[in-house]
Parts: sequence; C-alpha cells; structure tokens
Amino acid sequence: MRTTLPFRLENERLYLRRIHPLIRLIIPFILVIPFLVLEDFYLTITILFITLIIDLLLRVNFITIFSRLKIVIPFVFLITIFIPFYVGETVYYRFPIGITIYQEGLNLAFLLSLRIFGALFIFMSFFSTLTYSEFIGALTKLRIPSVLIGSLIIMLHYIPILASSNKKILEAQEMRGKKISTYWQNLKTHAYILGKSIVMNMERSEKLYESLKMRGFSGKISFAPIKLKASDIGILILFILIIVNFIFVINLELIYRGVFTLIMP
Amino acid sequence: MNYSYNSGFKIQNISFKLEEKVVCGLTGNNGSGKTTLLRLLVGLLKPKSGNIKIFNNILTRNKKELWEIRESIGFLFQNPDDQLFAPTIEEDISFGPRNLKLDEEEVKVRVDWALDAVNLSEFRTYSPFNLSWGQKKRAALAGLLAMKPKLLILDEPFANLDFTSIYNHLVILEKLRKENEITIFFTSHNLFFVEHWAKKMLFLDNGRILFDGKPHEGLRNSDVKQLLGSYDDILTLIKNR
Ligand SMILES: Nc1ncnc2c1ncn2[C@@H]1O[C@H](COP(=O)(O)OP(=O)(O)OP(=O)(O)O)[C@@H](O)[C@H]1O
Ligand SMILES: [Mg+2]
Repeated sequence: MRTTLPFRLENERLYLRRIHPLIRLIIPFILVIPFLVLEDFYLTITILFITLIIDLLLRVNFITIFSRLKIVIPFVFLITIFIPFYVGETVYYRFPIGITIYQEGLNLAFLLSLRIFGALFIFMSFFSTLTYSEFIGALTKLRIPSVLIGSLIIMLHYIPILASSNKKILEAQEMRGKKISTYWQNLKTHAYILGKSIVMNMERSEKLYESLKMRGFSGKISFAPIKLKASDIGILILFILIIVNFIFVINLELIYRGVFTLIMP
Repeated sequence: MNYSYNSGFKIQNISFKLEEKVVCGLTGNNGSGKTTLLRLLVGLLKPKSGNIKIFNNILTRNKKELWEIRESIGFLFQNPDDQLFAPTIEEDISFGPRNLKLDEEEVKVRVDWALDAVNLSEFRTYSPFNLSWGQKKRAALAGLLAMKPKLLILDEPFANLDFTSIYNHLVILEKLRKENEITIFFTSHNLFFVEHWAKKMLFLDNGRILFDGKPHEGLRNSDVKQLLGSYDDILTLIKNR
C-alpha cells in the first residue's frame, strides 16, 4: 500500500536528494509568501511557472500532485462562490430575478482560487521531494518544540493506519455481505466503523506511545544529522534573489504583454 | 504485588523471582492476565500495592530512574503494529540506540547487526506497512536487539510465525543468551516452548499464579492440566462428529 501522506517514499530516487532537506522545506515558503502578500497576478503566474519548470526538470511527479489537488476543489469553490455576488460595482451580468454578478468580484474570486491552488501546488511539489523523516528532521533543525514534533509524528503515523484499517474493516464487512444491505443500514455500519476506528486508534496510539517510552522516548526524536553545505545556502540565496528580482527589478507585466502581442499581434 | 483494572480484572497476590540468565515461560489462557503482568513488570502499569525489583533496583515512578532501568530491558509488544512507527524499518530500529545516546557510527553498526540478525537486511528501507506479519514481528524484535538489553520481555514472540521463522528467532535469542548472558521472560500459549525452552514456568489463571516451578512438573500438575485442556479433547470432538 502506498502511504497517503504527500511525502516521498524512502527508497524512491530523486535528483533533489543532494539538497539539504531544510532548504527544501524553506524554498516553498520563499516562493509562496510573496504572491500571497502582494496582489500581483503576473507575479503569481510567474512563480507557478517556475515551480512547474522545477518539477519538470527534477521529474517531480506533478500528475499525482494534481490528482491530490482535486480533493480541495470543492472547498475552494465553497470559499469563492459567493464573492462575485457581493464584491464590486461594475455589473457583469444581471439575472432577471435581481441577482447581480460583479466584474471585480469575479476577478477577485479567480485570483483567490489561483492563489490557493498555487500555494498548495508549490507546497506539495516541494514537500513531495522530502521523505517523512527528512521532513521531521528539518522541523527539528528549525528548533520547533519537540512536543509539537512528537505529536505531529504520532498523528502522521496514524493517517495511513487509519486509512488501511478502515479498508480492512470494510473488506471484512463486505465478506459478510455488507453490499446487500439497505442504504440506512449501510450508513449505520459506516458510523460504527468510524466510532470503532477512532477508539481503536486512540488505544493504539497509547500503546505506541508506551512502546516508544520503553525505548527511551522523552518527546524528542533524534535523527541522523545531515550537514548544511555551502551549496545548500547558495541555492537558498539564489531563490531569494530570483524572487526579489521579480518583485522589485523586472517589470513582469511588460514582459507578458510583450510576449502576448508577439504571439497574437 | 496487586493490581486491578477499572474493568474489574485483578492481578492478585502475585509474587515470584526470576533468576538472571534464565529463560522463563509465562503461560495461561486468553485473558488470564499475562500481558497485564508484563506491563506491570516494565513499569507501564503501576501496582496498587507491593513492588517490583529489576536487577536489584526497585521500579520507581521517577522518569529518569525508570529509564535507567529500562535501558537494559527490551519489551516486545504482542502486536507489532503497536511498536513500529517510523517510516522505514531502518529508522525504527535506530530509534532505541539513538535514545541510548550512542554516536551515529555505533547506531549504524547496531542497526546493521540487528537487521542482519533477524534476516531483514534487504527490507531496510521498507515501510512497516509493506511487511508481512512475521516480518513485522522480526522488525519489532530487531528494534529491541539493537539496544542490547540484558532482560528481554517478549509477549507472544512465536505467535503467527512459521517454523522457519521460529527457528531463526530461537537461533538469534539463543546466540544472544550465550554471548551476552541475557535473561528472557516470554509468554506463550504454545506449551511446546514452555516445556522445552523455558527452565522455569509460571502459570497464570484469572490474575493469580497457579503454578511456579519446573516446566515438566507444571505440565503434570492436575490443576494446570485441567485448565489448559489439550488436543485430545479437540480430537475426540472432531472424531465423534
Ligand atoms: N486496558 C485495559 N483496561 C481494562 N481491562 C483490561 C485492559 N487490558 C486488559 N484488560 C482485561 O484484563 C484481563 C487480562 O488481559 P491480558 O491482556 O493481560 O490477558 P492475556 O493473558 O495477555 O491474554 P491473551 O492470551 O489473549 O493475550 C482481560 O480480562 C482483559 O479484559
Ligand atoms: Mg496478551
């Protein structure tokens, strides 16, 4: 079974492995923060474009990233759906029943969804280059309190288990003819499974915690240390420089308009 | 020593001694309290009264002192899923040695050694989810071995394993026992191991020790015999259907 977490498997090969995990954890923040803070459509597009190129060059599997992004579509939709009805002044379309769609709201909703998807896409791209232990190791390096990391580890540990144990229970039920029952019975069994797996997993995490304690767990998990190299710092600075350039030096809008008129005069 | 769960189950007036460097088997029917007793022994549960001494140290509640004692105890859980937590087997095994504050070189040596000992070297980067039950059990054992414990407490170490795995398990454990003079305390439903491997047998019934002594005597004890039942009864049932 593949784990459902967005991390790279330990034995999966990757070009990016040479770069220190900490750097790979920080880079998505450098990329995402400017376009979340600055309201610049062209900057957003450019940063997404860069991430896509990095993904392509380093053969990050962005097909799986996109398929994971699908899950959040309904949520983003829920957040943005009402904006065009309330925000703005310029009328885009007026329904005969008195409801109006505004141009500004439409733009805002579009930009907002683009930013949410973009941010998620960037985070997932870079996080999927980290293995689970590299991720935790990097957090430790950032001096995040060990209590938080400890609970995060136990939490993350249980996501795949929950998924697979739910599957096992469902399979076991199917063997006893779950499929032939009515809709309401079905719903009831699902509720039971949910209740059971919550209790079961709470019990299990208690046992897991005990077993960690037996082997000396004090809330702090130590990992094989990886040294930060000069090249790692170099890469980080490079990224910062690129972003700073895009924000302050290069006029992106001009470039895009130029390219646009070249293609479609 | 006494203990009771809030469900009503009680461990009552238990008292026994374990000699060093000896293999001791704990047996008893399902729900007789074997796991509970083991959890009391390693300080995961606190006795209501009485105390437990391990290597002449009384088990305390003091975290630091407790860890000092636990450093030399390996405790194998009945269910390996309760024990394996790291993304890879390798990482999981290195968990204990790192907590012993060994340097990375030594950790690596121990992980390699433990993986080799349980025959899982080729699975080192696997996720525990991708292993079979027996492999998980071996991985969990490797996690303890890497800490080089002096006392191994094993809850059903042979359950659900095939003969080859049991054989390999025993080879490892016996080798350790000879080289490092460790003490082994295990539970099992399989009387075969209690009879032939253990030098001492404890029989538990409903939270009480019914027998404490030599295995071959224990298996002849009439109370024990009656509680245990045997294949004979099962065979008669099958034949008479
Ligand atoms: N956490 C708990 N809370 C309350 N009661 C418990 C708890 N764990 C076990 N018990 C009860 O204590 C009794 C002994 O359980 P225990 O797990 O020690 O048995 P066991 O001898 O290990 O059985 P098995 O051979 O099935 O592993 C059982 O009746 C069980 O219901
Ligand atoms: Mg048990």
